[in-house]
Order: sequence, then C-alpha cells, then structure tokens
Amino acid sequence: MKRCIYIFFSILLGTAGCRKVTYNAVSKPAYVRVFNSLNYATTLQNKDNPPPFLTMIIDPVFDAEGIVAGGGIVGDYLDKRVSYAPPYPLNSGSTRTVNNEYPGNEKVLVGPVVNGFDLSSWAQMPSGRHRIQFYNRTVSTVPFFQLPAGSRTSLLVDTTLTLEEGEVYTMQVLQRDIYRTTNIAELYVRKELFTKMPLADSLIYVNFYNLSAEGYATMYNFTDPGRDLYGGNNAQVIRDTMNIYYCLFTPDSVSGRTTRLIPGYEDIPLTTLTRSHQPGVASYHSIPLFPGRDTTGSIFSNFWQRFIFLMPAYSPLGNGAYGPYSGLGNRLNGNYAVLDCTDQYDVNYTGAYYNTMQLVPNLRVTTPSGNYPARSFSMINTVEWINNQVYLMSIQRQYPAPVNN
Amino acid sequence: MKKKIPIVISMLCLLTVWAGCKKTDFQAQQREGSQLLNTGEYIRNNFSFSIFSAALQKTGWVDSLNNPNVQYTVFIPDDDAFHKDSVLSAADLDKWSVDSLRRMVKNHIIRNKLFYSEIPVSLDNLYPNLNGVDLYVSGGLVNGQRSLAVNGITVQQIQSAVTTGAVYDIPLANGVLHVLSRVLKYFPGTVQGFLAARADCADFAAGLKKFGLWDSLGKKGPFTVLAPVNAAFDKNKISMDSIGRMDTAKLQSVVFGGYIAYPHHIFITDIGMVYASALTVSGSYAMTLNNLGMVLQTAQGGRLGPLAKKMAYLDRISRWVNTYSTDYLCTNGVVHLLQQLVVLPSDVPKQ
Repeated sequence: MKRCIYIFFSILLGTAGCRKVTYNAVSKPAYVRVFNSLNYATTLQNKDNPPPFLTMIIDPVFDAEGIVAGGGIVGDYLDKRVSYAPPYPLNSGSTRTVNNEYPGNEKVLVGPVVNGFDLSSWAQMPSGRHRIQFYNRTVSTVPFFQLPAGSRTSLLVDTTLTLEEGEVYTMQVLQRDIYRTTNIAELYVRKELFTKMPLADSLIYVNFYNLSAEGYATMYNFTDPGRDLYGGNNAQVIRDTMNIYYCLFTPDSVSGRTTRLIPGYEDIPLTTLTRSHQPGVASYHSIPLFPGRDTTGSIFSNFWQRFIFLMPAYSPLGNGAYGPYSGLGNRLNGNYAVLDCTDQYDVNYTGAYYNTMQLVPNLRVTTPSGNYPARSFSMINTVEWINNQVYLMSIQRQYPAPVNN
Repeated sequence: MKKKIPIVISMLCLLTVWAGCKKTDFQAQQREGSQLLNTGEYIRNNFSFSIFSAALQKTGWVDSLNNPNVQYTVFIPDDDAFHKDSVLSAADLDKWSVDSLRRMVKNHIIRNKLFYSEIPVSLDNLYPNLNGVDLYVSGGLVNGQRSLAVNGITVQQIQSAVTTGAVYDIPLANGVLHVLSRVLKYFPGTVQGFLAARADCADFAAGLKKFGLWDSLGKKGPFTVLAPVNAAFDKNKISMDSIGRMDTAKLQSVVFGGYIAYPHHIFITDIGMVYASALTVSGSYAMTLNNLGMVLQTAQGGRLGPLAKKMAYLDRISRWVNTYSTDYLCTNGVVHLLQQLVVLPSDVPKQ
C-alpha cells in the first residue's frame, strides 16, 4: 500500500514538475536594428499623406487580391525614433504597443555579446536574401493584419537585400528629400563594423552621420513647423557640410553641469560632416575616458562632452564657447550648432542661448559593477543628425556584474 | 493510526495540488442593478437632445436605437447645435419631409460602439454612417493636447467626476454617444455640384468657368474650395458682367484658382489639430488658413487682395461668411464660404 502511494506521488510530481520549454533558435543569424527616422511634423500641407507610423514586414505573404496578409517577421507599431537609442532594448518591459525601434519591445530573439559588445538591441534574423516592406498604418492599437484590407495598402518602402551571417545591420527609413510628395522614403542600410574593429576599452569612440533629407537645410533653417516637437527650443538644423570640434568639461551630474574645461581639451578639430544617404560606416574618433577626482578610487568619471558644429568658414572662439554666435538666437541659418552630451540631457531649456543647442546623454555610462556602486565605462557611440534632430546610439561593452557584499 | 499517516499526507497533497490549480477569474463582473439605459431611451430622457429626440420619433428610429442586440454610435447634435441652423424647437422639424429627416438622422449614426480610445490619433479616419457615407473622424494631438472632431465639427468634452483627462464618450447599454456642437452637413454631390446649386456662389462659379477651372472640380479631388459669395465680388465692384469681360490672356488664373487647394481635404478643425503650414495653390501662391478665414500671398510673401494695405494681420484675413458657413462636405472635397476676396484682378496681371 505504502509503496503504491509513493509510486503514485512520484508519478504525480514527475508529471506536475515536467515542463516542456521550446527554445526558439534562428540558424545562421544576422543581427538587425531598425529605426523609423521619418521625423517630419504633420502639417496642413502634408496631412492628407499617410502618417509616419509604420509596420515592417520581412518576406511578406499576399492574399488572392494581392494585399499583404502575413510575413516571416513583422515589426508593428513602429513609431518615430526617440533621440536616444540606449545600449539595451528600448521600450522593453513597456506594455504600450508603440515601439520606437525594432526589436525594441518585440518579444524576439536578440543578439548575443559579440567580441565583447552587447547586441541585445539587435534582433536575430535568418541570414540570406529577404524582401523587406514598410507600410504606413493608422495610428491605433489594432494589429496590422487585423486592420481592414483597405488600410493595408499604403506601401512606403519595398526592397530586397541580402543579410550575411553574423553581420550587424542598422537600418533606417529616411525621408529622401523635401520636394517629393510620393515615394518619399527610402531604406538606409548600414553594415556596422564595430564588432570587428580593435577598439580600446579605455577610450570613448564616436562617429557622425548627417542623414537629413536633401534640401532640408536650405528650406527649413528658419521655419520648420516641427521645431517644437522635441522639447522647446532644443531642435535645429545644420548645413550640409560642417566641421566638428569637441571640448571636454567637468563635472557633470543629472542636476547640473559646469563649463570647467579639462585643460588641453578645448575646440579640438575632429572631422568634417557631409550630408549623405550613402551606406558605409563613418570613421570612429576616440576621446579619452578620464578618471574622476573623487573618493571612489578613480572608478567614477564625471566629465561631459561638447561637440561644436561650424560652417567651414567659421572657427571656434576658444573656451568651448560659441560666443557671439549664440546671440543670434533663431537666426543661425544652420551655420552653427552645439551638441552637449551630458547626464543633464533631459532638460527643456528656453531662451535664445539654448536655441543653438541639442542635448543627448553622456557618451560614457556609469553603472554598478563588481564591488563598485558606480563605475564608469566608455561606449561606442553613433551621432546621427536627421533634419532638425540629433539621435545618439550607444553600444556598451560587456562589464563585470555587480557583486553584493 | 500509523498506517493512516501516508493516506492523510496524500490527501493533503491532493488538496494542495487542487487548491493550487484554482483559476481565478479576474474579469470584472458587472454589478447587478447598474444597468445602463439603451441609446434611444437615454436620448429621449435628456433635455439637451430634445430636437434630435423628436427627429428620432418622427422617423421611427427610437425603437431601433433601443434594440439591445444592435450596437450604434451616435454623433448627436445637442439643441444648441440645431439652434445654430435656425431649428429652434421640435416643431420646426415639421417643415422637413420624413425622408430628408431620416437621411439627417442616419447621417449621424454609425454601427457598433466606437469609443474615443479606439479612434486613431490621426486625421480623417473614415467610418461609414448608416447612409453609407464616410464620416471623417479626426483625433488630433498637438503639444500634448488631444482633440476630437467629426467632419470638421468639434466633439464636446464631457465633464466627468471620475476622470481628469479628456472624456468624449457617453457609454450606454447598446451604444455610445458623442455630443456635437453643430449638425453635420453633407452635400451628396461634388464641390462643382455644390457651387452650381448655390445662387450666392454664382459669380465665383462664372469666374471658374471663364478661367477653365470649373470642369476639374467635378473630378476625383480631393479639393478644398474657399468660395467667395456674390457679396464679396460686389464689394470690389466685380459683377457677373465684368467677369465675362475678363481677358484670360492678360490675367493669371490665380484670380479664381487661388481659392482652390488641391489635393487637400481640409476642415477648419484640422487647423488646430496639426502643425500650421501654408498650402501651395495655383502654382506658387501661399494660402494660409486659420479659424477666422484665409490669407493669400505670393511665394515671396507679397500681399494680395483688397485687404492687403491693412496694418494688422487680423485685419488682412478674408473671413468666413459666418461661424457656421464652413465645412460643407461634398463627395470630392470640402467647401467653405468667404465674405471677402483674397486676390484682385489688378494684383495678378500676366507678365
């Protein structure tokens, strides 16, 4: 009797404890991250065009009427990208359907750590040849394929490309130019190289792109109706060719920053930026990661970076200042601009002085690691200037997990 | 007793397994006794909707709206809305035939419950009404301010004791109400047909014919036409006769084409729902619309029209005939009526 009961319970426990987990796997994956960079404002003039709210369909399947009815990989509710693409999946944990990038909050397999770089913001995708379509969709929470057939016909981009195994791709839907009213967008595909480059972990790296629409700088340098979309005055335009200089200041914090220059790091010429939609990785430039003068054993770094964009005819004024240029307020005509990378980036400044300024997070990251409650690491950064907005994409290296002691 | 211990343990285990498997139903249950009214009953009992309620009774639609098995959404004009169209009481509806009254009622009703939260945040979402005509339902979001409009008519916000955000729904047992500040206007023809049917637009129509712009208004569109009424031409000493004598070889077509925005479908409420921008009309002229009226300028910002010399910008606006003379929806566009011209023949000679 006793034995029967034990056997019975063994079977009960065995069946109750048995859980079948199916692990999805993508064979021979490529790694893909997608942004909707159509950041133009909806105005009276363009309101009868479809809204820049997209669905990405890879390897689409069509029904008998030729309307898209399914796809191999679907990235729905793809809204305009936000100014910071962090080194971890954006929107993850969010219950909102809206996604500011792909994979973002999509529950798909993401990339591993490759050569020390965390690819968790890149989705795994089978390598090989794929047809990729982007459709405009109505702004609602209804999944794309449950929309009426008539709402699934607004095709924005249709292209075919080959993804190579193990390669890292960043894709963006970009506005081609400001002139056309149909066929306005194109897919920009960049095969990233940072996983293959010998990048020192003691240096911050940054590269720059100007992916603005053709003609944007000349047309909208005064009056883009979308200027106030991104928080007060912190949005502006640059010309198609700009020289970039950088300065380093300290200290930096969420509550404030000071413009105390780090000696020797003042208006250092970095590169020349030219507007282009040609794919290709821009060269990375290095900036040192200074230890902080504090009590944490020089583990915590608190300097911040300023990039000064100037027309080739102008030169910086010293002290990291753009001095009298800033007094021009709104009348900059895209000739000068400043990008401050600071922990205090989420501030809505007002006043003419700040009309010249864009703000993004710091190019280093500070996080608990090992025995330290706050330890600073350098990151690999990509600055993209698209129309009136700067976007920063940061990639973090693998780092020691925090230890509780 | 010792022999029974494993059995007791096994019973307890079974009890644990059974209790652990309990599936709790987290679905909110509707409380008994809190039944909402049906749509027809609610409208009949609300004094703000007495005229629309009378129209429902005259057309036999009350029972349909009380059918618990069919769901409707009613964009309901309140009594103030009817007053704006000079319908002051239910007795005034007697002047209408039952058929046209029924068409008016069905114009305001769509099938199924459409809650505000389900309406996409974009302009011109189309929902067919019971006449089979699409309603343009627009949800705007500018500077964090949400708004809702149907065919260019603002949906009134409901004061609610339980929510602080914008509320536009009156939820009912078999439907939803959205309260309109005006009666929906719909002309079952093209903008060309609309202008042809209105005697007060005869001068404008004659000018469009003279400059070869008339035929296009019968095509697909969408057109937004800002039609100056005859009085606007009279003010500037332009008559049907003088329009007939205009020399099209010596005048740019903007003298009449400046009132037509193509391909644009713009209600006046759209202006506050998206970012402002000028529309390019008649080649290169810039049309600026606002709640009061319109201004036409050259591409370089040069002023035009009889109001060009006024100092203040507000005085340079050619205004709507009145607050209600806008948003006439046609099959291929929208018409708004203007009381003043925006461009004079002397402004735009051919070079």
